Amino acid sequence: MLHRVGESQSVNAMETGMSDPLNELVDDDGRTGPLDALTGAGQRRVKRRGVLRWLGAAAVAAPPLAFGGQTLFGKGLFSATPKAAATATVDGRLRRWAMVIDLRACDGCQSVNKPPQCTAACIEGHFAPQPMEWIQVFEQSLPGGGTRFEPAPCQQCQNPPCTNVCPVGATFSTPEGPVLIDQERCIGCRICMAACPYDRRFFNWGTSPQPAEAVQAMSGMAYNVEHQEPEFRGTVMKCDFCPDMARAGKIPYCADACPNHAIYYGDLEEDVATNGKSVIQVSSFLSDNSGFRLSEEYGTEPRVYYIPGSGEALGRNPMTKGRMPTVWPWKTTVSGSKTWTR
Amino acid sequence: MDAVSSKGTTYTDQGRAVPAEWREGLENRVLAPLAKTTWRYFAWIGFLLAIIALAVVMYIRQLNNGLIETGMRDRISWGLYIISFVFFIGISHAGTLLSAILRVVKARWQLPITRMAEFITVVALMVGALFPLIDLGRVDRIWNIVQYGRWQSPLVWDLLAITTYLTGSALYLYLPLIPDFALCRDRLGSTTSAWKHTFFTIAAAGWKGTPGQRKALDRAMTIMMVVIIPVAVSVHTVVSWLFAMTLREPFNTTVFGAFFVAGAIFSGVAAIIILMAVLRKVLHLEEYITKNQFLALGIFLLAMSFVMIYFNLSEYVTTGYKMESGAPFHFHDLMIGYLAPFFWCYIIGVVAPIVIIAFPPTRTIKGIVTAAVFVLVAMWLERYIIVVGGFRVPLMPYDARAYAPTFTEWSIFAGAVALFLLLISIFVKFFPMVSVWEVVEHRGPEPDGSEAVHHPAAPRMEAPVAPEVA
Amino acid sequence: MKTRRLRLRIGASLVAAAVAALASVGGVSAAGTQQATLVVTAPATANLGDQVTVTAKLTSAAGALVKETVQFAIPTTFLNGSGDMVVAQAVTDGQGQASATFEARSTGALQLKGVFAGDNTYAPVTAAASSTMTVTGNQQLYVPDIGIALRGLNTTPTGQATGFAHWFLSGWPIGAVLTLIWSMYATAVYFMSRVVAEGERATEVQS
Repeated sequence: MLHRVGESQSVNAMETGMSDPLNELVDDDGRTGPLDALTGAGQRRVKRRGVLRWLGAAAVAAPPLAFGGQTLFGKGLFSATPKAAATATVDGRLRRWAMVIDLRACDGCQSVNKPPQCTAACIEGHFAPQPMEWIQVFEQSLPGGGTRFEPAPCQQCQNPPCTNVCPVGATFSTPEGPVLIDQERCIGCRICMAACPYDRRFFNWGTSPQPAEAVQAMSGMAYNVEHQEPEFRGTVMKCDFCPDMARAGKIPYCADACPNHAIYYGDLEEDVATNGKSVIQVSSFLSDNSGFRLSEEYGTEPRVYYIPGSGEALGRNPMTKGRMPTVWPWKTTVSGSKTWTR
Repeated sequence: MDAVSSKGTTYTDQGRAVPAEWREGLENRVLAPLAKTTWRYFAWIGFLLAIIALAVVMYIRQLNNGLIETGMRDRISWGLYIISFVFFIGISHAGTLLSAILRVVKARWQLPITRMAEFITVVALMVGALFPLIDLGRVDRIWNIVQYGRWQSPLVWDLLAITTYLTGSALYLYLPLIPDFALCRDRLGSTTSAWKHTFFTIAAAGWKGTPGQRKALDRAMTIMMVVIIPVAVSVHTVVSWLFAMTLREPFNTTVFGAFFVAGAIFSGVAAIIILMAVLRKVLHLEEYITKNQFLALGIFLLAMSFVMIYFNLSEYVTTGYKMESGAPFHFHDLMIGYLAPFFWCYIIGVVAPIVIIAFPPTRTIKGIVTAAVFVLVAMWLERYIIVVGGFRVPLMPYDARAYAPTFTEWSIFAGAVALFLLLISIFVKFFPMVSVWEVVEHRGPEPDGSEAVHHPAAPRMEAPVAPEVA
Repeated sequence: MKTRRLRLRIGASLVAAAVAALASVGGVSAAGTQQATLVVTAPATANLGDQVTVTAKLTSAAGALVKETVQFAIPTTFLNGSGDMVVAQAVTDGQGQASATFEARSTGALQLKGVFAGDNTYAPVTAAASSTMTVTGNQQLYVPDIGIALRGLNTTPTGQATGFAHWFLSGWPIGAVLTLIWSMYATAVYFMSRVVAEGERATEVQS
């Protein structure tokens, strides 16, 4: 689990009703799944309130002793446990997660006549509030006419502009790669959103439109930096490369759900990636197929690579434009919430 | 300057004569607002408080419902609040220019208005610094900036720079006030309430005008006037780096630091001219703040107008020549599209000083104040087109989003302007708005060109020695 | 006698048709039927991060196969995907030998295999290396690339907070400037206090 060790969290007294150094919530033992054992014996169970209500100036938790303001690279629990090669290599090397998206096999789900399934799976898996599309399928015009589809998750840059500008270190890089957001530290200044050149960060402008199931799923769980919680109104959210899925030995929701297996999720350390069906060696796959990254000239060094294409492996004609709009499947959302346009 | 007005003519350090009755007139005029208050003043304060009350109500509503009450959304995530922030911080540079830079080069014409300028700085900084707080999504976690602050963040640079500048300006405002507080303490003892008298006594810091005190004060002021200049330059540079440290097309340019500082001085001078004109009228200071000050500031506004044109040309000609990705959209947006009304009004405002002030027929006090109003509005528009225009350029293949401030944002902005005016109005009642001792010691009566002359113009004296007042 | 030859011919053409059908399913335009032999050799041990050279010899009854592509793959399971991960490929030379080099990125006992996709004459062949290749080591190979890291400017310091000193020093340029400016403020305040002191001294002198 990726989080800060050795630093107390700032806890909003209104949300949890108690303050608790993050240390106590650390679970250093191997766990088999995302939900269990976070509430094991000896650990605080933090009650989740469903909806955050505001009543003027809220109490600020007492500052802890350390006046240091360092953001921490998460001390990867990945390396602590020799679990089945999922979160660390067998010999204990850190994973360096990356994604390769083969655009030759992406047609915006035109052939299955549905909204893009990667986005749909991400929304359902994370209860992403409307209108957030943490992986968003953009439609890019091609020089000769026609379009191609570019599914864009957070690029998890190695030189992330968002991390550089955050005043409180609420967004931070981890050694394994994903850039995470500590929603209990974020002050909502949105300079990270100004800095992100890929439009991949989303703000909770109001009470987030999420279903009641999201609240229930989170209740009883200790706060976890790898689980973004929509009810933190006034904070930023984004794609996090699904750390829980990797720990469970699976590829992220988006990669899993793609009907054409266009998204590969892999490790640059062992130079291997999979789309759930086949296994590729990342370096040769990229070199042989002219892999590229978005806006390379910015120097952000993203971890998401693309193989150029426009769905030709599926027989798509680039001139057939348009995809179905994303839907958020919630019938009802928490009270007081309403959606907004991005 | 002695605590008790002396009889007879004194001389400034340049040998100009300062008749006693002129000095008496100055003191009386400057101290008058501190002694008496009319009902009109309370009505004005009440009006301002009403606007502020509305702003507070809207802000509480924003706290209750979240920033969804504003017009900002994911794609244009900074709006009226940050625009106002940059605007007010920009205005605050007026004081430094007039009070510090001109003092360093030993100019004298600005001495009657340094007090007002220093006040604008302090008040504008205080009001401007509120806006990032208003803009925060989680203002309850503001302590995190102190507890977890990162040196590498432009927002932390902002916090440090503005705090430093505010402290320095407050100090620099207070130091020249000491002899004037002594004047209030001595002259207003009978006519004001006891607590006001206590306030003046404490604030005067035991000033008696002794040589030792003068030297100490002079040293303190010299240090401050030198150090406040780089601080002021760094403040708006650092504010510009909120934008220039991002990779967005119009922001991603190296000229932003200098551009913003020039814009700050430009808008600050305009603000001074306007405030000067208003206070001069309201406090009946026509004899002491004359066309000389307006002319000098007007010429300065004209000069800054050319500087701003130069920076705008630098920016738009180089970007437009290359038309790098993002630039075509931005230029279209700015000049013939979504932001065109704002942009062209801005250009008109920047050019207005040239048209109005360069030609003698319009180079009157009224003309100069008009030019200043144009400039102030234009600079607010400029902040708008920088922020909104920058965020409008699409980063990925999507349609550009529109932005319009909501009633919440406008009322909070109006409340901030009202707060600005309120603080100035309150200060008018507690602080002498003209630096009496500096005018008496270093400037004297305004030379030819003054519109209201109560006494014959003092003849130029050859006497080089300024007699020390016992 | 005639029927037997006919049966043989029918049988052969049936077999040919079947092979052609199978070959078309397998994606080979016109697969051959002849059998080739593929022998793959890989070193028995290697260190992690080393460049490993593997060779394959592709021969048939008629002799060596020249200018044929041989791919080298390692069966891998990663997260919830498994399959043959192609790590290198090479073209056979005049002697039917192809050798390729790849970087050993995984540790453990790797079962290398060579894959010949077949051509018009020959059927596809897959052959495992004679022995597994044991790769040992545990040094981290991939280091995230952030260009030039200017400590205190565009990086966050690694490691944990070690108190005020570390925090201050990590932003030393800003800290230095602030110290300078605030000490000048303090000097001005000192002189201001001198005003008060001088005033009191003057009062004492007077009284």
